[in-house]
Amino acid sequence: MKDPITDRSLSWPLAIASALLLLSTAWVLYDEIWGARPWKGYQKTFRKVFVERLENFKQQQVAKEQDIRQEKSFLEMEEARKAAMEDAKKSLAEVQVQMDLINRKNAALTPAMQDARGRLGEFTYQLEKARKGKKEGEAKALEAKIEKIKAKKYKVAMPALEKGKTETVEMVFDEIAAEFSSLKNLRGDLQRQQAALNGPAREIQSKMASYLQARIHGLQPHQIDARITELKEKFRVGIQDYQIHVEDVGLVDRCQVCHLGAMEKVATTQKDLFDAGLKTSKEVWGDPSTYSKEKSALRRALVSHPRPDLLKVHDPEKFGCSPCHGGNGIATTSVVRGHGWHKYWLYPLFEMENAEAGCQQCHTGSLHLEGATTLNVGKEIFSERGCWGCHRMEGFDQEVDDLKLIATRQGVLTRERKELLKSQAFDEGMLDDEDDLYTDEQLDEAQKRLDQVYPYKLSEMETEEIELAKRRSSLHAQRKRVGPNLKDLRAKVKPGWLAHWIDSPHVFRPGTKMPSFRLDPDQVQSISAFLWEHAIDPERAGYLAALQKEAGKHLNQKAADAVRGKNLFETRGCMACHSMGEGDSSQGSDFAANLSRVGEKIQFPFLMRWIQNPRKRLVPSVPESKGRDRFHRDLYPDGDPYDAETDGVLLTTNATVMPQFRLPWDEVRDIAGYLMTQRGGGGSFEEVPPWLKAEGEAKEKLLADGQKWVSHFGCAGCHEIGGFETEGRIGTELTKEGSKPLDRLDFGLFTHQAKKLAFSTHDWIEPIHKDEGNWYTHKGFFVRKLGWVEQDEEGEDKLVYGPDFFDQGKERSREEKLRMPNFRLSKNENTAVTTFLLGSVDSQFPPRFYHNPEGRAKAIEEGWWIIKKYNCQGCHAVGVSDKPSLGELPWFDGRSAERTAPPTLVGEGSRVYSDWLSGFLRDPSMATGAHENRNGIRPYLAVRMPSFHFSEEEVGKLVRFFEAMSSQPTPYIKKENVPLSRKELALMRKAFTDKEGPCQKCHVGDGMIAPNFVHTPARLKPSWIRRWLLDPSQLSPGTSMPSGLFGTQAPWKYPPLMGYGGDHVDLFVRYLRQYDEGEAKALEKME
Amino acid sequence: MTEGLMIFAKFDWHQIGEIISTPDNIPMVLLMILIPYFTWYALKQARENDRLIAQLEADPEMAKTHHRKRFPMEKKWEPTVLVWPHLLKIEFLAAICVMVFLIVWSVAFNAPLEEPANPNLTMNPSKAPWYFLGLQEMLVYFDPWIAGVVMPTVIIIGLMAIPYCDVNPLGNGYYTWNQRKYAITTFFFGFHVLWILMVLIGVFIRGPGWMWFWPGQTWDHHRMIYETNRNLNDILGLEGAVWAALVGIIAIGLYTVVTAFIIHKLYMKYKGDLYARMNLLQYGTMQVLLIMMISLPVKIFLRLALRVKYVMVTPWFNI
Repeated sequence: MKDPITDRSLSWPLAIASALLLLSTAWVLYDEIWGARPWKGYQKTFRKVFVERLENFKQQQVAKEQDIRQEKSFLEMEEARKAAMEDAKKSLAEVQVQMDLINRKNAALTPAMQDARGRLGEFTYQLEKARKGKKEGEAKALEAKIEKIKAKKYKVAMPALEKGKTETVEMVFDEIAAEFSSLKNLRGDLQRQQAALNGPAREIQSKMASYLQARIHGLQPHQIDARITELKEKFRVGIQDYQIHVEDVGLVDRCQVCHLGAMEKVATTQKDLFDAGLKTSKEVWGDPSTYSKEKSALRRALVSHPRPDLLKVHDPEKFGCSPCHGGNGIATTSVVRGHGWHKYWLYPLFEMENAEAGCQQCHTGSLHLEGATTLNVGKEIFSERGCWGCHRMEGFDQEVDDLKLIATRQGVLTRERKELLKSQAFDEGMLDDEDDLYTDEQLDEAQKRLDQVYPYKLSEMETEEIELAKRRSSLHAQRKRVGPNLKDLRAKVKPGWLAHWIDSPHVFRPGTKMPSFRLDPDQVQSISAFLWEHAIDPERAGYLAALQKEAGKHLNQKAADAVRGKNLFETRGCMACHSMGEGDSSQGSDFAANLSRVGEKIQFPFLMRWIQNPRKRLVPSVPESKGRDRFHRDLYPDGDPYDAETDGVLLTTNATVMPQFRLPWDEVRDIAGYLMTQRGGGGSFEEVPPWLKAEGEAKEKLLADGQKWVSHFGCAGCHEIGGFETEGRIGTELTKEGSKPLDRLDFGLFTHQAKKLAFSTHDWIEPIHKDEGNWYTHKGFFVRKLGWVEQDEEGEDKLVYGPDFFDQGKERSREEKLRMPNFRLSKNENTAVTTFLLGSVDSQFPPRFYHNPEGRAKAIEEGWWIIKKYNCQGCHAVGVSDKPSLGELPWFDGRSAERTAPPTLVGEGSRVYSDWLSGFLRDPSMATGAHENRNGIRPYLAVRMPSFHFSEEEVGKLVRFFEAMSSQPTPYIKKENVPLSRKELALMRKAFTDKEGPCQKCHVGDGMIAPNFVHTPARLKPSWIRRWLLDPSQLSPGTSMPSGLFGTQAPWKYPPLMGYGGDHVDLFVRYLRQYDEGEAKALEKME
Repeated sequence: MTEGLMIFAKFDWHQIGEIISTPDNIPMVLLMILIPYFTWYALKQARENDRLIAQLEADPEMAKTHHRKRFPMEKKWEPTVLVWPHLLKIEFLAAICVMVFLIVWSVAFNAPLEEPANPNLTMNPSKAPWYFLGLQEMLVYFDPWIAGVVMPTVIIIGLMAIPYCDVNPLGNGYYTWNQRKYAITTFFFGFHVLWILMVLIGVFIRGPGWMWFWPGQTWDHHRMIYETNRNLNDILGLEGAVWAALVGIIAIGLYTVVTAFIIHKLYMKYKGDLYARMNLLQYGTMQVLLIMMISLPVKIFLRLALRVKYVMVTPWFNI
């Protein structure tokens, strides 16, 4: 037998093992050099392709430049430049000759100069050293040496004007130095001459360069060439050149290592790259016309960043890329890693449709962010559809939080005051001594004691309390609720309608704000019963009697003229917020409810009361009273006045944004009558519903259940309900929902399916879209939780996913089921809200990243919240490109003064004085007495600016908003008006009473169809008046005020004015600025 | 656990794939292959050695010469085997194989880094590294003091003590089964069953909530099982802290006595000669260690089958 040890040959195993080792080492090298570094390939491709791209682009630009160079003005400039150069040529040549001489002289002097200077330098240094060391003997010797050198004569061959000729001169050092510096001065002079001579030509040249630059869009050919050269010669394959390192945050972003085209100045799309040769193999070997976007991932990666204006504001070197886009900036080994699309990177790259989510974490305060359209829509939906009724979100419904803070602060102040007084043995009763318990001496004594230690503290506290009370009343006035006040139910709606509505609002009113709650019939019945029971009893409130007293004979539905009402409805401005008509035939705005079926549901008297003044509550309410609204006689049977300190805040206004139109009662009646005829669905809800018929024990049960369900579904988050005034929100806070750990989002039984694992333990759950990728992400959750409405094959609306989606498959009692109702969003709305939620994160970045506007920008940001809240854009244009809903209606064609649409608010800040504006906003009627029928600046319009009853804070913010939008200086200083001389005054008065004069046709006298001039001194800014007079159509396109009133082509020529030598426009401005009531009367007398 | 039979309805290969490919678990996959292999290899060598021993015992002449590996020495073989090249070429081959293995592993698998640690968020299941998973599994059956401190200490000290208690002079330096049945059996019990098996259960079987998932069952985080456990004294109907301690002491005392008796009887019957060579300390140590080892499967049975939580409950520690 063979020796089991020594005869065993291991050759084969060794060979195989060695081969494996070789292969694995090769694999290592491959992986290290290329496998883990795919970007090397991208960079090489990029360099090749982008050079090609630039070449293509250069051709374009060269052609453009040729065209521009052929332009007449350019050629003229070229001629001028050549001429200038010609002129200067001769003198330049002369100067050059002299310059040459100086240079030659300089060269001749230099050796001697250097020699002498060198020696002198050395000895001077030694002399200084000797003097310092107090070696007098040495110093003397050195001084002697220096003298000798200075006396030495150097032979210099000074050149003469003719080339080649020289003249030998003997010079000592001082002379050489003098000659040297005089040469220097001469040279300076000559250079100045040269510059002056070259000047004109240079100037023209720079003009030509800027002419070119202004007319060529994009880079000029020489700049493109520079980039091409850079790419060809200096391009390094690597990471260092493309990495962004923001040191203070520790952020390293290597996105550009693959996205090489991102910061290129030449905008490059996928098509450009395709044309430059970046094709997939199919496109290369197949039909080249099969190009379409998205086919090549590399093409997608190499395009340039859109919106370079955004990049200017957010310099990537300071912000990086991943703060806005998400993703794992530091990873380079693969696309999945770099984009953070695996489960261990918590902030994956946002998809294209949600790209604006990154804006939200720094721009939390703005509702209207330039350029972030999806995000803006998302935030508006969140605000308008009332998501904040259940879910707290920072910045939305700020009033509630501020009121809490104020309440806390008031508590603190009260406590501090008590302690303060106690510390000085000061009985609180001594403050006002109502019951006369103390003698005067005692009071004085106590006061002195207090004053000694705390001279001002008490009054400081009192001042603060007053301020807080003011702020509190402001906040209560500002605070609006999502849905209507349900305490009005009994007075407002027909009971038969209530259950239909609560069960499925979208059936009665498609597109309504109110979501559908997936209720069972018994829940609907009990909720209706409860809400009805807890609404204000109209009999007890006596509101009909009060209404009768106010409206008098007009409270009569039969006398209502529906035709006139329709006309009023369409012209007074109701349709700036409301709409009428179903589906495609709907007209008006969808900010507020569509009123096509309102007659079926509402009671006539309430409708009248509402239209007349929506802000007036049926009964004053104390929020802390929890349902027992303060009928005065309940609180004060003896008739004492209401005391806010002891009884809490008394609310007399409804928390609705609908304004008051100051309509007279007959108009109110007619509009109400018209609306009562709107019974689009033909339904009748007159029958008494079963829940109203219930009595005794059945009723008790209904009410108990109703309370449970109203509390369970959080109705009080959006509506005011009797007994639930101070209820909180039932939903989770969403302020940082985008950073919530994924494990905390409840995917229900879909967790496995969402992660795209092969088998789910609950396969009987139908996956809806089978071919989706991994949706176990924040976006996957939000999109499905919100759901959207699709049209199925029959064209019916079908709810896809939705808030109850994650309940599927679970056995749950009604109390445990998910409560969020269905909002029936469209797909785009879903994307917008998802974007907003994805962006609501707990930001990791330092404060310098955040947008904290001050001054003008802050005023604009704050103003937009109010503009959107009250839907100013329903009537007015606020942003430059706005198209207000009202202006689209057929009535507002501007054919007569009555039919003019509301004025544009673009430039309002530059037009009116801020104090006038704040007065106007407080009371648009500009009346001091009764408000009805007194309608502001433009009483001739059919449409009416309503009274919004803003809080003081809101008025301030709006005024500052308009000022900021027009970039007005703060503070604005009114300039004194230069008064008119007697002659000028007489001239102007005659001009304004001239029969042919244009101004008086509209602005003066009875039947005015333009603003009355009497308002001008307090209202209009002089600079604006001037611009207006010169060109009204520029400031307000479509205005009836004629243009071209001034100037040589003006149609009207009043001879005396023609003789006036000064500035006519300035004269008019000065005249108008002093046009008050007295002036108006004077004009009247003259006529 | 019993509904695990349902797995034959639908075997979730994906779940198995996910468990196996988790970077933390890859050593255990290898272990599942290597342990049986080495066990088999060792036993094969033992069997061949036994055959050689039998041969040598039968032929005293042959026994006087050396043997090489598992074969008796033949005349033409060199008596001396040089380190170079014979040992070193094997070692070289081994080195190359290890290199290849390490290279392939390090290129194919990245370090198992997960997201930044969040102290507010605990993973489910929250598992120790594999070398502690045996102990973590034991935590199901024992009080943390016992499973986490006492048992590991006893294991380590026991391992240290074994050479001193091992009085069997045979089987040094070569694999053999016949000469060392008791030692090998005990070792297999202690290592394969009480350690490796526990680790494998901890790695592959325990899922979310530390619930039992047979291979092929999906790791469902929403699964709910009935697993309410009670203490021994509560089962017997004797409530109260005093009873808890008393019942426990009695039960454990009983167990100890019975087990010691059985061990003694068996040891005397099969290893009487070894018994003669042991002193009291050695025998006592062996008894204690064996009793503690056997207590583990006993407790496992009590826990899984009878839902017994603790046998003995005192304010200081439970068993």
